[in-house]
Amino acid sequence: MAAGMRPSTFRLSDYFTPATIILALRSRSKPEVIRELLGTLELPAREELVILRTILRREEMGSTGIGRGIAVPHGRTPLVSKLRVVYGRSTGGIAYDSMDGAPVHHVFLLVAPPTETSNEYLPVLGRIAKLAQDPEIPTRLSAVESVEEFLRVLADEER
Amino acid sequence: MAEPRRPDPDVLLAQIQREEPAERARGRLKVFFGATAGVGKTYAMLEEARARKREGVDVVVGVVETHGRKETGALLEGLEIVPRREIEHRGVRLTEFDLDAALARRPGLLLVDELAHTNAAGSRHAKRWQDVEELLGAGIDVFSTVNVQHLESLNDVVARITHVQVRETVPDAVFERADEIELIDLSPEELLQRLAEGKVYVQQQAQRATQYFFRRGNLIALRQLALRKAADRVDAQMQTYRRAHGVAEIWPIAERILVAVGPAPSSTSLVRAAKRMADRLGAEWTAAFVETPDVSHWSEADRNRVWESLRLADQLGGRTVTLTGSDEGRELLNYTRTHNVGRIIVGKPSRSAWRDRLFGSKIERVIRGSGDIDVYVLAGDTVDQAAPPRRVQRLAGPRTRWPAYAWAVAIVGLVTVAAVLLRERLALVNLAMLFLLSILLLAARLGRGPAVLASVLSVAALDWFAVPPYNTFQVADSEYLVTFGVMLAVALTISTLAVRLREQAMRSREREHRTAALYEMSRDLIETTELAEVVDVAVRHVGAVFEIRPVLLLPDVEGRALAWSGESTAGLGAQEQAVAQWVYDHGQPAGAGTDTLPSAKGLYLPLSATTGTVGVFGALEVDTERFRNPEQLHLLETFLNRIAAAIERSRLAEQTRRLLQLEEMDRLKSEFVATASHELRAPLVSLAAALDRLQAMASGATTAAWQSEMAAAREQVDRLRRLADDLLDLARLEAGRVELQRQPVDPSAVIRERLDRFESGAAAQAIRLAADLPDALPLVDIDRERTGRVLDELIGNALRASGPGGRVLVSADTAGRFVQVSVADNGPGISIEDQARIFDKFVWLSGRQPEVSGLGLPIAREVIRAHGGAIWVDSGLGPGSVFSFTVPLATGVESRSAVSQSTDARDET
Repeated sequence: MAAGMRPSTFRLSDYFTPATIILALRSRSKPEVIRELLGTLELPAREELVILRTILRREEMGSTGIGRGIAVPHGRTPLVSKLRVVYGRSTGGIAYDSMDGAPVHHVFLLVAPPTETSNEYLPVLGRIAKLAQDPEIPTRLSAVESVEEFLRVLADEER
Repeated sequence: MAEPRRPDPDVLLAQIQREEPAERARGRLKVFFGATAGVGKTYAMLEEARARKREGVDVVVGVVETHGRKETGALLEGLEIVPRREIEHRGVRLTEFDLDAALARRPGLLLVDELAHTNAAGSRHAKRWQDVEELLGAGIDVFSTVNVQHLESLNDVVARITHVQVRETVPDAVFERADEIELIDLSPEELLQRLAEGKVYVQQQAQRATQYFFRRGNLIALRQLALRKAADRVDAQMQTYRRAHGVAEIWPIAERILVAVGPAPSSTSLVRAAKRMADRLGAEWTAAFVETPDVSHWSEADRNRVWESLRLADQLGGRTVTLTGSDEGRELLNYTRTHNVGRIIVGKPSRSAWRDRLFGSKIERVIRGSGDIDVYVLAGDTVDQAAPPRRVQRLAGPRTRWPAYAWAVAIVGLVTVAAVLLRERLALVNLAMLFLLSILLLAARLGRGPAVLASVLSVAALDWFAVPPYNTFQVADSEYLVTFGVMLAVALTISTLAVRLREQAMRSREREHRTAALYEMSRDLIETTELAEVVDVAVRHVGAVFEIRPVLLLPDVEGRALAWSGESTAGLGAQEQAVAQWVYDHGQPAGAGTDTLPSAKGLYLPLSATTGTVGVFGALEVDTERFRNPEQLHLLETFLNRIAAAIERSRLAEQTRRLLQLEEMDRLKSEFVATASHELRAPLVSLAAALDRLQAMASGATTAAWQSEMAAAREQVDRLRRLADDLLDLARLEAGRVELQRQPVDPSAVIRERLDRFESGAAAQAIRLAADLPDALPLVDIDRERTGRVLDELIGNALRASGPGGRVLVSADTAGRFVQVSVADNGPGISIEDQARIFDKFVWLSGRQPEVSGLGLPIAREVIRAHGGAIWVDSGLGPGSVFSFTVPLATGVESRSAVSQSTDARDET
């Protein structure tokens, strides 16, 4: 484990609230989806726009659509005070410019402050990356019907 | 024994200090308190003022706002009014309450309407309540009025209800200190009626807000607020009063319920009944257990049932209290009196009627003594009859062993000798008295057994030696039988009383002993600084007081896994460790005697301090039943709290020590690096110069190979020089010895200027280098040169990362009080592990081309930090990475209107 990182004792589910789990995304395009997800954080409009631009620029240089229908847009910004994580699901699929070219159904958005004393951002990002490697996860997430089920899937994966 | 009617001397003293001088020096404040404007506060105030005037009080009106209401105006007639002061403020003439005139007039009672009023500019005090404070200070009684929305603490609440923010507020303390509050209550219907009739004064500018304000729903809510505030105050006042005057009557204001618990299995259902009743009444409730001397004879099961009931009460949100005394009924009543309990719940009688008649029944005593307290006798204790509190065999105490009996025999023998010697001179009654005296002493000193023995012996001796006919057990007069009976009864009664007294004394000694133990431990803990000492003291004291084998488990350096500490912990397996770990992770007790992991050998409790759980306390070889008693558990927790605080303190001290050491080491290292790089630079400069001279000397006469070697040497020297420069720079930055030349700068200009330098290089590698800058960026307060070099570093890295044919995008945005600049590349990205250490010194990461010195990013970080900004990288999932940093906006520049202000800002400097 790299310096400054804590052993993995946290649970992903701790970072979600019912408000930050969207099981039916309304938007279909990448910028709109990211905007919809950011909307759950209830930030002032201008700040939301700045964060959106930051994330989209990053996406422009290298898509975070990491394959199998999963995307993990992420970024640091001084406009949030702690790590925020949002999940959105689109049954119809999002044109996301993914590595494997497939449409994205599951989006995990992470926003964190530039420096955290708690050092949570990178471990959580790592955990989500690991989660995405499970070949069964897209199917399991697609079958989820409630917030509780979603959290249960996360818990199962972390076991 | 508690005497409910005797006031606590401390409380009395405090009250005297509060009341006495106040009564002489300070005026009394009465506040007419209402839910909203228009309830008739001023009217009520004037009415009472007139009544006082009739009583001969010197009443003067300081300021009263009639707002043109006729009825109110009429009440002013015949009252002396202090003329108002005229104030001119920005051309507007205002009239204001004349404080100085009122002070000079010195009336007995002054009316000052609207306590929350804000005085016109130029007045002595900003607020009218300050005027009132001064008046009170001068010994003048004051009547005033205030609405609930003007109370500071309720201001927000009212604003949320009515959507009207009131700016004029009165500190709660002023309200709290008022000697009298009169709530002027008017139902919303009546108020709306008055509003419709135009009887409620509404300021012109507030007409529109008024429509929202005076809605029925709002009025109901405000009325409730006012009623509750007034009730709270009355309740608090009553407590003070009761304490001061030792009042024993019950005032049924806020309901309080007391439930008496005992060893009956149905006791828990009484507790539940109390909880239900309390919920229904919105009352507070307390479960009380009276610890009588009898308790010591109870079986474990009986005692456990009591603790269970108390624990249940605890869980259900009730208070628990253990009272000590010999008479259960009397203790319960004492408690109800001193704690203003209105209802007592007791279980149905358990003992047979004849025993109650003989010894008196708890319930009967409670009911007889209850006065105005309601007593509820609920079904419950009947089960008791099937299983009466079993008496367990008491262990023979030291006083009841054979020496005590020997004493009894010896003393009776002595008295007998005396009786034989005196029998001719003393009447038999007096001889009997001698024996009685000895029995009394024995009973008091040695307990029941020896006393009974002594009384039997005495009776026998008296009969044999002193009752004619002598030296036989025959009794001439049957009246002597009465004498014998009395002697026996006295022996039994006295010894029983003496035993009880001793037991009670022992109990209070035990408590005192524990308090003393807690004090001793605290004292010892204060003297400790090292963690090991804390552990030692804690283990020693807690072990002695609670008769357990204590262990402390403290987290390791990582702050996660626990390690055993303290006394020998050998033989404790992984299971115990796991239980302790659970306790540490969840901050809750577990293990033997609890509901969590009860199969564990020990009982484990978290050591909670202000920063969270600092460790786990384990009690091994524990009598689990003992800690079922909430009192014992609370006591243990009190000990543990002190220990936790001590551990936390020593941790913090240790951290500070280590931090200071580290800082010192870091400083020494930086100094060394600075010196070393400085020493390196001088020879490198000479070397470069020498190479230049060589090149010049050899011009024309050199081979291509010579030229190439020369160039290589030159390159390496330059590289070394740069490294030395960077090292020196970093060392200086880290030591905080670099002075930034800060000034307001347009960030776009700096970015464009730096981009230009890379343009040709990027073009040569076919890298698309672009900028995405908003039209208007606010000025930032930066060292232009140093921040520019940070940009150089990031752009250079990005170009290297993206490689030929790649893309690099430089962008900027306003983010709060900062401008955020980002340099994005479409290179391979940086792994999550590498991101955590990319800004560390001398780190070369896989997949990224090495920089010149490996110090570029650390220097960049130090420069940005010195500006008060942050620097970071976003990468990890997917290709590409974005390096970003923030720098603060120039002061006085608002983030939104940057362009219009940029010229102003430039003028400032």
